[in-house]
Amino acid sequence: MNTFSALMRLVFVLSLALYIQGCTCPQPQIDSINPSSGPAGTIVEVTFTGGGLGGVVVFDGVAQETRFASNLGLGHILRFTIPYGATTGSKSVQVSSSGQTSPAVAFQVTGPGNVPTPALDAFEVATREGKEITVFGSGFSTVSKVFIDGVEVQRYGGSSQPLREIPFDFVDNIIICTPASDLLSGSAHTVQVRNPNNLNSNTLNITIPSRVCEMELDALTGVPIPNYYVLRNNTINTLRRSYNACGWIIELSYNDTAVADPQAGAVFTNADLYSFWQANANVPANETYMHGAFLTAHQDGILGIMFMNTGSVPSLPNVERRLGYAAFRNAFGANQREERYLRTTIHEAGHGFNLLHSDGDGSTTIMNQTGSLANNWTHNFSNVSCTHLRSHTLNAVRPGGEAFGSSRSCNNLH
Amino acid sequence: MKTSQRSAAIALFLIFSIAMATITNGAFEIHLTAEKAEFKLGEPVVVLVSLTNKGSEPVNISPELGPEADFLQYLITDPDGKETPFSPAFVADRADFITLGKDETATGTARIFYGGNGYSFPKPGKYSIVARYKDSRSTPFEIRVLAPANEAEREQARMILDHTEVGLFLMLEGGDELADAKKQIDALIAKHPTSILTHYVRYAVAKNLSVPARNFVSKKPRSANLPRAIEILQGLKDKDFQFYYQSKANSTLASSLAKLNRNDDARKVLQDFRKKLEGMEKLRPYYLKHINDQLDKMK
Repeated sequence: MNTFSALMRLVFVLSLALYIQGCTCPQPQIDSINPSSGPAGTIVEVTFTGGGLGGVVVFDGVAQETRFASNLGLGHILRFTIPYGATTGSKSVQVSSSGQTSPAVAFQVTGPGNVPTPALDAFEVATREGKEITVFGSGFSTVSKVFIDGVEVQRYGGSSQPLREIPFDFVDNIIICTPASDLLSGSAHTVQVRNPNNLNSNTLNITIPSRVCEMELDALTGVPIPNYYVLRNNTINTLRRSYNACGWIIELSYNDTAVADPQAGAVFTNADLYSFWQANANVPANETYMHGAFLTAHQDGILGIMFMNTGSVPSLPNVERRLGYAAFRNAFGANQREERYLRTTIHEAGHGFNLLHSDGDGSTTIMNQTGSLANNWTHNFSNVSCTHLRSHTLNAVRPGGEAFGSSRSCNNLH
Repeated sequence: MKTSQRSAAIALFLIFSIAMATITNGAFEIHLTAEKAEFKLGEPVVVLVSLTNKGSEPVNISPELGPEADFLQYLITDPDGKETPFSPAFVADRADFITLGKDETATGTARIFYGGNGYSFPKPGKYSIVARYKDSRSTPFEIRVLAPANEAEREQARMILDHTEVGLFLMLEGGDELADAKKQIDALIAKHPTSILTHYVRYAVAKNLSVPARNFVSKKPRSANLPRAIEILQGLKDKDFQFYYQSKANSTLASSLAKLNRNDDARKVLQDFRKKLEGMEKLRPYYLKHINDQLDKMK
């Protein structure tokens, strides 16, 4: 995890250095602009080739505050907001990269537009270092400013974390930024977003989680890991967000997302799962850890399983309880597939944190059995689940601790 | 019906009549029982559970009542009086459910002999088992684990109970990479071929062979060995061990035969077992549906 994160940061820095210094690159060319018309305040995505790593959008001859979709795209997908105050008519859009400027393409400004009032509803932090925070809500744009404890913080172009490209559809719902100082475990802060015309969001009071779990994700070739961001009920959901809300930082790592399947097409038996875990889990010393596997199909047609609860097996590490889970992609039909795939992932990991089905509220929350869900289900933990995650002794909660169901007798800890 | 079968049926009926534990507490009435009240040391304990909706409204419940569904929870009190929640070896999540109307009953089985705390019945003595769902609890259901009658039985038990990998193999019904389990199981089968404990491990070995194994550990995947699985399972047909395992053995035998296009033989296996169940009034709710479903699929 930390190695990968450091590598990504290095790529980011190198990219930035190349961008600043310029290179002997071909002239940038805009491939697409989306949308190509709209009122002032429209968020526009520009994709280009050539140039260097990253760039700045020039609108109507003026350089704009520009965001990258992701550092993984090495800056070739840029986003900007049509300036409020832009006059109606056709305007030029160019990309400036490595000291060169692309030919212009047209954007049709259709009206003055209204500045939305931003709203905040949640946050997440990616690692225990507290160097990055993501805020969720609505009414954001590329020119929105973020304030933590009243101090404006730097917005990322993308993210230093892997596989976290912000989908364009969610660009008004998600902002990733770097706090002025590290957000330490257990510390309390206020967060606010400000749009032009001094339109402020509500103030979000946050406490940085103090419990940390490294989570390694592996997948068979051709089986996707759940989308990082999933929209449901007008809310952006992530695995991290669900656990952050209940006191845990989940440090995700994407270790091997193309594990070869020696028997492609065959369903997985429980014995197959067990061997997959043994072969692919890289259990660190002295860290709370869990392994997630994303596989094709289980012999019993189940959605997911938390399967590492075997006590002490001599051929394996002694602390192997609740250390692994799997989700089976083929068990999810087309209806709400991505929403349910992420839900099952959070749910199975929940068992790894010693959460029971009976922790659920019976209809909407994560730990309910899938069959009992009402239509308005969410990716949130129930209060009972949250109390367990946040407050019970670490050994009763953390993966690798007590056996599943231990210390949870009749939920009498609540 | 042969005299021995009739005797067995009567014995089973008597055991059920005496041993069934029932209580209505909360929304559900939960009954626990087992096919027998006494188990050999090291023998896999499977309990039979029924759940009746005593509330006023229909409820959606898991179609599986075993501990792996994390719907019912099982508590085991050992001979020293220590109560431990049974921790399943895995928790499986399904999308389907069944709706249980008012006063309707669902039935299921629960393998509770090995899990997250190792073996649940590691020494001789009296154990009691309770199943619960939130505020609903069964009354304690008691079983007795018998002390080995001789050195041979002691050795058989130790070959299982001293080796947690064997418990894991029995729960997973496979695990090619579990070297110690294989060593112990091979030795048990070789040294004690007629032991009742051997019947259970032979079923697990056959079940493992009936399906391919990926074995990511050794990176030596294995194809199913259907002829060998069939040979082992046919050898278990006349053996006297828990019907739960007899049912699974016959089901696996039939599916293995069907994969070899021996559909008539497969149907006969299931039909013969269904006939055997006819004399087991109390067991039929637990096993008959699965057999009938499998037969229907073969039509």
